[in-house]
Amino acid sequence: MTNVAGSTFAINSPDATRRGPISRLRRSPEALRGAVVLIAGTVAALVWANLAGDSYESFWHLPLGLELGGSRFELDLQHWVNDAVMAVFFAHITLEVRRELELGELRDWRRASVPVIAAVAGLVIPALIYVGITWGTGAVGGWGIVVSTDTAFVLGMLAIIGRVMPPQLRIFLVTLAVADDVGALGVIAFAYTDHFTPLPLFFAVGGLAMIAAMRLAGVWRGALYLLPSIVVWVGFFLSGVHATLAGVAIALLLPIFPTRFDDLRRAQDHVRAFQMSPTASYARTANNSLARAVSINERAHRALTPYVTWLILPIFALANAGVNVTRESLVDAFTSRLTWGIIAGLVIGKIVAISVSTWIVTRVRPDALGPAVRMSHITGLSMLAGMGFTISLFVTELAFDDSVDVSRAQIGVIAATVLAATLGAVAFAVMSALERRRSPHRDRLVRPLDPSRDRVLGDPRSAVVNVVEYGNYATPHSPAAREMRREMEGRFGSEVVYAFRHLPLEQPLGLSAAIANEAAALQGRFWEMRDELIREAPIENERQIRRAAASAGLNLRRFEHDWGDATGAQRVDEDLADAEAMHLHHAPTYFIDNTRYEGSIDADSVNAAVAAARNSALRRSEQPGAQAG
Amino acid sequence: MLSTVADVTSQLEVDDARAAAIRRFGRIDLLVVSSGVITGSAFSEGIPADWAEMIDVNLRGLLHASQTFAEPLLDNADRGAPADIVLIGATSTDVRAPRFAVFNALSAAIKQLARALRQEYGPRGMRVHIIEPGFAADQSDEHRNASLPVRDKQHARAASAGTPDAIAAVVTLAAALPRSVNLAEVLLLPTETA
Repeated sequence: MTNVAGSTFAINSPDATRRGPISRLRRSPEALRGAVVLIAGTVAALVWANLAGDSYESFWHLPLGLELGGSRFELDLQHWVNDAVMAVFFAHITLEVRRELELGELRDWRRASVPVIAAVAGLVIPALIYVGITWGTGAVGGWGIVVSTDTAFVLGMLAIIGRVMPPQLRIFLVTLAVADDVGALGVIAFAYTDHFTPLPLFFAVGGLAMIAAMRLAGVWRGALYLLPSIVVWVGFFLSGVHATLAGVAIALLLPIFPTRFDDLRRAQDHVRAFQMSPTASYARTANNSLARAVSINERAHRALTPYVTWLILPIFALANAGVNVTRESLVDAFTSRLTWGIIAGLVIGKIVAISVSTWIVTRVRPDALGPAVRMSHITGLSMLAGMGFTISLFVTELAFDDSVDVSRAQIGVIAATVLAATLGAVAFAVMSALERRRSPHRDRLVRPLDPSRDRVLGDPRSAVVNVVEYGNYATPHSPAAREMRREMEGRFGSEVVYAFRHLPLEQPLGLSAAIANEAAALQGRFWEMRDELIREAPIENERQIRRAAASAGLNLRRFEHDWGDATGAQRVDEDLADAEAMHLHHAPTYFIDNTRYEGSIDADSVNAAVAAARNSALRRSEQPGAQAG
Repeated sequence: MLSTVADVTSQLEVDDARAAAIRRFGRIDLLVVSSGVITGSAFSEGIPADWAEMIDVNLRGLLHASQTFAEPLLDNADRGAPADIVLIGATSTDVRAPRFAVFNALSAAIKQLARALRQEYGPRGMRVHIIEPGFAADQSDEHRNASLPVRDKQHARAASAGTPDAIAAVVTLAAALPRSVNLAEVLLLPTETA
């Protein structure tokens, strides 16, 4: 019961319908935890590797295998981790890339182009620097070590040090990291595959064909995809192409689609049926239809995330970061061109590549970064991008056989990661301090509630608390004005006055809907129109706006004239300019008594905050009276 | 020829019909509003939901249609082209029969509306006509008007003089008259019972 009720809530809560950067933002503490676990794995590996004896080396070289009849299949533990377990990690990355390509940031090329260009530059320039430094030594082949940024580390770092930074910076970073991962996967596939035998690939192709067929047949139970996945992995492994790429190939085939409204409604019907008669069979249909509403890509991504974060990445770090740190090994490393090639490639290469390429793009297209992100942010980000941990260590194992080279490279990777993290942290600390000095009152409402200008509910003269919302029509779950009004009247009577201002962000028809709402105000139906627009949300075509106008009881002919003339555009522009000045980047944002509300956006939390503001306002107004009496 | 289905109680659908007609023909010369449902019973037996339906279709539907189409019709009038709205109302021949009180009240409202619109639009070159087919409780089924479907057979046997042919003839006549005169109100009664 609890389980299904929880799922219903997930459908109704706004979080479930927002994907991509925003949900990532919400998950930022998780990104933080991921980075912490990864650091813990690294530290544990370093400690273990430097204990007396060779328990670290011998443990990770323990053979583990299957024996069937006379044939054996055996790998040592480190290879099990790097070849098999990491396939899941790469599948996870690929799922994310595909989702971003089809539903997320990378779909809109105009927006994605800047971070993608930066990512390409960030692949090429560090590799060139590395090759330049190690030219003539045997270490040149390790150029793949410096190409990729560690997504987990960078997101974690940004979650710690970038909290006051605009959310768009995070989107930039995610896009960059995803594009960068694509490059790294390509490098591993094409540059580090040796002794290629094509025959076993037929196995893999067979397995992939099976997955494709299951996908076509509409199989949505994730577990059924497991068996062909193993076949694909074995095929890749035997062919000599790096076996982790099996994860990539499989993930590329998993279907992805935006949640369909019909599926959602069916799921709701089943949940309702379950609520009416809570039997095991209804519970099962309800669960199944809920799962079916979300594409297998997303369910796989979600299912894999905890394993990748808590198990795979720390185990990988444990198996690969254990470099023997002694005076000799450090001296050897820091006098080798290999180590310096990695440090320079990752730290300097990433900074130069990302900053300069972004700077060039913004010269050509001044609005390429959007209004919130500045060049200084990008520079800070480029410093963090030098943290090339996981894939760098991964490529190290592929590129070098000689244990001295491996040790040098590992020291180089760890040093570069620490250096990049430090540089980035300092840069962001400085920027945060500057930001705070520049706009100390960013959480204050710049334009106080003005009953003669604003769309107001309640009586401004008798109210003791004012609430200003900057909102739009993004989801059908926005609190309806009618509910808001009923709730406020019920709970606060005439003590609260509420105003709505427009913050159409990046929805295609957001601005048009805001202007339509203002056109309805000319017929005295602002709030009715707002309710109808919310009912229609998400607004995807103009007919929905016209239908909302008809349902709100407007004179359609007049409405269409006013809407077409954009009579209300000036007010919407003013609201947008104010929101820009206050760095409002997501809607709805509430201001309670002119102070920005930072809590979670659901009716109960907002109302609790309003109640608290009202109580303290009432206390303030009582105190002078009490003193006088 | 364009036929399109719209629910007159939905302003949006009526507006879509307007848009479809303009897309097809480029302009609109004439609007005939013949929307109506009828339910009858003694007032004390009347069902409020039936009243609401009659008000929605007979009155609000007619308001939607008249307002929505007024714009293109007035455009026509401004160009000196014909512009007519014909409202089909109803008149009861037997006001003493208490079975159609609400329907009759609405019919009276429609007549009053036609007069007011005539005042508003006449000076702008658009003629508003009202045709009132005589409507009476009737013993035979023969004269039942398709445009006024009988909802409640138990209570009412309704019929009117307004067969579609007869109404069409009046509409044709009204539209064909010189623009300087308006065949404003037409009472259409059955020959036998008039």
